[in-house]
Amino acid sequence: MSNLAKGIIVAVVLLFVWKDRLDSIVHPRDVPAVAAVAPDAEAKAWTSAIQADGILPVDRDYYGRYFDALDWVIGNDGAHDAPLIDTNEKLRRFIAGSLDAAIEKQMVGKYPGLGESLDRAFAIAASGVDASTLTTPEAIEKAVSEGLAPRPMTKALRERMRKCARAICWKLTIKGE
Amino acid sequence: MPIFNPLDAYNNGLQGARVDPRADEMLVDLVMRTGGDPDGGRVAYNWGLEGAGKGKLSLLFPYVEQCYPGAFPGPAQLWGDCTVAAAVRGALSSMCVEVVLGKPDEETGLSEEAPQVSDVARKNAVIAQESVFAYRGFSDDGWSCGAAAQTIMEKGFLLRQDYPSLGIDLTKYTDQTIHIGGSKKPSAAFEAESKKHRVRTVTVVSDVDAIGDYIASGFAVVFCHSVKWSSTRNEDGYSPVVPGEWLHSQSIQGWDARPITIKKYGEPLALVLNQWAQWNTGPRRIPGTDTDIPEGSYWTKSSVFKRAKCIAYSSILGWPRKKLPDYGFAGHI
Repeated sequence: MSNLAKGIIVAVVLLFVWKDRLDSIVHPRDVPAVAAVAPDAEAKAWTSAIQADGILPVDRDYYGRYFDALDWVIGNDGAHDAPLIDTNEKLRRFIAGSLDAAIEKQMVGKYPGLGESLDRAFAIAASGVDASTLTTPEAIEKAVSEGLAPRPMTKALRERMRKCARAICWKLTIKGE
Repeated sequence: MPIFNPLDAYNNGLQGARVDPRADEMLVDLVMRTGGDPDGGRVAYNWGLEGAGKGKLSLLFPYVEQCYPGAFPGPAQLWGDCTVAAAVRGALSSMCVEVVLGKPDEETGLSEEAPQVSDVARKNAVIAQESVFAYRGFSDDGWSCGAAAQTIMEKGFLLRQDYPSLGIDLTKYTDQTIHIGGSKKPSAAFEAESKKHRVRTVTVVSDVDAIGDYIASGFAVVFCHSVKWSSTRNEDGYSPVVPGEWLHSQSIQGWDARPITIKKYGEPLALVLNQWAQWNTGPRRIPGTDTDIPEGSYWTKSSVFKRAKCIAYSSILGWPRKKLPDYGFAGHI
């Protein structure tokens, strides 16, 4: 192959590479938006103890995206003939495992009390207790305790878990406020 | 007192498993009255179990090994109580599958927790077969599969542990414990305790392929028969049927319907767990795996069960699972 032919091939390749980069600049790929929808009073009650104020904006955005994805995964799993997350125990395992993958080790524990408040929000949501009765510390503790009982992932429970994830997403993400 | 040798006793005509059509009728009646279905074929269809065992290897005993290492085969029978020895081993398998897989109870929706027992209790197969045999209503040994299943559903069972309030220590299967109850009806306190842990329901499986479907779905099958097997396993752990008769009961703990197995034996094989401890010899490795079948067990051709009464055992009541520690966030975010 002559040097001229080699030069033409290199030029063509470079042209395509440049064109691809140019396309990405002119037509940036869509960044998935976090679907932060304001929760109803019930979901707000579930998540009221979560303190988002002290969390850095960049972390709030990252966590918000996690809960947005969690909502989608729980919902999509339920659409399968044989869902993998068929008990709340398996949901717990999934959450712990996915967080291990999503959160860098040095980030774990950066916000003391955040993990515990998220656990409690999901437990209260799982309990199915009427949110309007969560007016005393005793009532809240009882709901948390009930929500930690092992139970199958019924359609109703799955929806409550999704709703809780969406409410936390709204609470954490900057766009939600 | 001469030492009881179960192999010799059954070879010599011990009637451990008796035919009792009346008990079978009562079992059907009980299953129907408690919301179950005694037709195993219909249950398999309604619950979507059909075809579950087709073309693959399904094993229950590893679940028991995971919950209670060394529980199988358990102690050798001390007399003709094979019906309950097989029944409790079947119940233990169904329970351990539930526990390991976190399968919620079909009716309550609650998952079960494996009850804690001592090392001695574990080596004695965890569940006290004497606590079921105690309800038979006579002092001699021998019973029917239907009566044993009915009792384990209705009266339940006790674990291998000390029950000071009942005045009995069932930790170990002994010449003393085998004589509790019988012609003397168990006390109300005994009944109240054993009723805490019952097999929820059973169903009679008459189609051989359906047995594999139940095993593959995590439900043990207990059977009564009059067939006799060789005490020597071949290279695959298979034991042929030999001339003679055992009036006996055992449990099915595995099903091998892999094409390679069917090609060699012409049909699926079933893994039978006997409760005579280490009574037979020969290789135990499952071909194509690194798993050994339990001592005392052997593979047999599934067509043998056309000549047996087979009963599948469902989930067990009791031992609500412990609460979750959290929902997986603490320590991970």
